[in-house]
Amino acid sequence: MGKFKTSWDLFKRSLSVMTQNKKLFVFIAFEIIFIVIIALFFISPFVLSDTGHALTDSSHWKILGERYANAVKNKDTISGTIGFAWFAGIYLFSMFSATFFNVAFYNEIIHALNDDKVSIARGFKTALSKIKLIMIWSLFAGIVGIIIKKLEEKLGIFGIWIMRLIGISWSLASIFIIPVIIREKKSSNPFKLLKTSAVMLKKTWGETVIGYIGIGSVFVIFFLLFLGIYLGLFFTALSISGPGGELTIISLIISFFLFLVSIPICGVFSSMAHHIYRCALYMYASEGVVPGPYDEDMMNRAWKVKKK
Amino acid sequence: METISRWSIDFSSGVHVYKQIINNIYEAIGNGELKEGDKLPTIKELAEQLEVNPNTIAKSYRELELKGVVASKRGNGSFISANQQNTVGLTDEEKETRLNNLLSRVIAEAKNEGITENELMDYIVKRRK
Repeated sequence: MGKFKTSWDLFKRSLSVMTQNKKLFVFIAFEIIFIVIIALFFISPFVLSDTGHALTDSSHWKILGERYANAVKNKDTISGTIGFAWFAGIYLFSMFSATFFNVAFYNEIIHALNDDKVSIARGFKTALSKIKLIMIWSLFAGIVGIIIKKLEEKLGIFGIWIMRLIGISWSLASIFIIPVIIREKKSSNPFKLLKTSAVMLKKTWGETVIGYIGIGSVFVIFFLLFLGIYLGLFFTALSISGPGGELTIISLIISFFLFLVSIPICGVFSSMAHHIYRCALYMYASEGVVPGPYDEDMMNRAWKVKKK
Repeated sequence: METISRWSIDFSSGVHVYKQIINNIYEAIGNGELKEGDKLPTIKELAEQLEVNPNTIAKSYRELELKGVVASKRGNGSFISANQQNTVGLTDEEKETRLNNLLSRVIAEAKNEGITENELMDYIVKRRK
């Protein structure tokens, strides 16, 4: 119970920053819109590929479905220079835009944690002022990502696991990269940025692990709760009207729709809590003081729970 | 305050910002830029200037207050204390303990920055010349 109470506390305090600074939601909205645009870019060559039928024709989609099934069956990977260039281009662009939006977003989270008012214009102005650093980092991180992916494709099962471990280490080391970019004033060396991020992680790794597991577990609990409600509604309706009954179908549709909607909403809230907690940890590591709605006692409590 | 406007914080140094602020104040006192009775900026002013959390400035001032370097007057702000450099009346043993503590802190900070004891020693000798 103690573990969950601490996790719930972390989650609540992280979200309180968001609810007290509603402008932060705008950054999330921008990010979601961009993710959709990037996803459309990724799938457009496949969706618009020539099948001999119009897009509005069902045969077009049937052929695409068959092509996709064949590709999965044959374990096809992106091949050819054009295919690779397209993939790399989109990948690097998505890295750049994600970093750009996150710099704007994190800059304002830091201001919110400093008890300042959030400003959307200031967030994007900061991101623009860091554009060179963002480009260098995106290129560097993108190339590392592509190399890891390519090596994973080429190596055997043992090699794949090694590359995955390298990938996890890379993600952990670069966990504080966005606030590091925001606060870096002199260097544009990506290795130095990565080193600074890793140093911050080293200082707070206990709190980082506990926070991530804690906030993640709140998300899982909400997910299970919604799943339980969905299944409960479904089986109740089934027992009242019997299989195939009108009530069952309506209940199934409504509860399934609610379930489907609740998952991304939970995901967005969980992601926001993670972003805010990450900024707070970075500030804790760099400034030596626990900011905003968190307190040192709570951080220590989270860590002590782990030690038991 | 001109002295304070020159203070800079290196977020990538690995040294906590609150310690860097303390070091800046010590350095300003050592250089004679901050003297007894000088008023320090308010927590809010310094937090805005250095773009850090107000709690960080508060922690720096609190630590300096505990060491007797800074004195806070309710409603008036924080000032450089009268007895911050006062070693008069201390025995040799007490002075040595103080110096030892100070050196340990400096060596630890330097180590944190990747500076060896020899490099530090060379710098001190060079500075004296």
